[in-house]
Amino acid sequence: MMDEPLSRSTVEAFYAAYASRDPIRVAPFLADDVEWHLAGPVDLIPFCGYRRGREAVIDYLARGVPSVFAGMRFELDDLVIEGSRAGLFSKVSAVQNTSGRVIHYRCAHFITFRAGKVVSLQGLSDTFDMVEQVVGHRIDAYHDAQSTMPTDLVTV
Amino acid sequence: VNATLDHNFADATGRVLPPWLATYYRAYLSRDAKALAAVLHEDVEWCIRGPVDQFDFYGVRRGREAVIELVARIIPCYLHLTAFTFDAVLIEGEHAAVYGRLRARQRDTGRLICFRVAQNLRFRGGKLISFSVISDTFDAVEQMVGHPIDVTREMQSVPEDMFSEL
Repeated sequence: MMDEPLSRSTVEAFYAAYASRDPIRVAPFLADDVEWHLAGPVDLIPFCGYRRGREAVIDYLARGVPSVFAGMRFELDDLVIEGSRAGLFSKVSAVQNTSGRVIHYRCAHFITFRAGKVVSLQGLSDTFDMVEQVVGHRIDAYHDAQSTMPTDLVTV
Repeated sequence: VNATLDHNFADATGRVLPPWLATYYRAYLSRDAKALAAVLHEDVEWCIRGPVDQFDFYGVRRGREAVIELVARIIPCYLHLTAFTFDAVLIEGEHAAVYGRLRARQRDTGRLICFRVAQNLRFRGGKLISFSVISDTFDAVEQMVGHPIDVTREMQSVPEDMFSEL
């Protein structure tokens, strides 16, 4: 059975629910077996990574994102819809919960819907920019993390 | 589907790219200045988001000549593109959103680098007028520098008066 073509209003309603991070608003948009992947350094931005299933995604929204950001807003720059898929390009503004700093970064989401529910979301963000804002300074990329690790191991 | 220059460009669903988009990607991936000139609008706006102070292929370029300079001459100084995989290609009129994987060999080290990209493309009269790219830049930069990044190390600025006596 072919899915009905995706409407702009469905995508925008989902995006508004996603930005709200309110499980009650988001849950109706998620398929039971939804796959959700946000690329990024999980050790620095814990809400990045892969989730599978509605419960895991709800947990990400209700606990994962708030562990880093106290508030979050998406401003949609561009949207392309074809068939049951949508590509969104956005600006994100978020408040870091530990510092109160407002953080801005760009992201893209490619979302596949089935019968009006999200079955797959793939997200990419300018993570270098995001991490620099989270740590609060410009990063020297050429400095090796391993060279500054504690040297308390002794080779005999 | 891996895109090579003689390939019929298609995404993961098997859907073949329309000729105008395939022509653009063929020029883009070939890094050929003449082919690029034919597919770029004179007033093209181009943006690859990322740390422009660490790699100068990131950032904004405006105009056909600046984009050709970037794609045909600056990027090849860093990377030799070996493949582009189209995972998703969405099209509405002359507007396309592409989610793909880019593979390249770093020119200095020979290391193979692979990262995902989201590309937002707008065409006018069959020519590219706007192109913006978002990628997992932290991962991409770690691959390019060849080691995990120590985020505690702050970039040191050059003091403003350093060159005052020169």
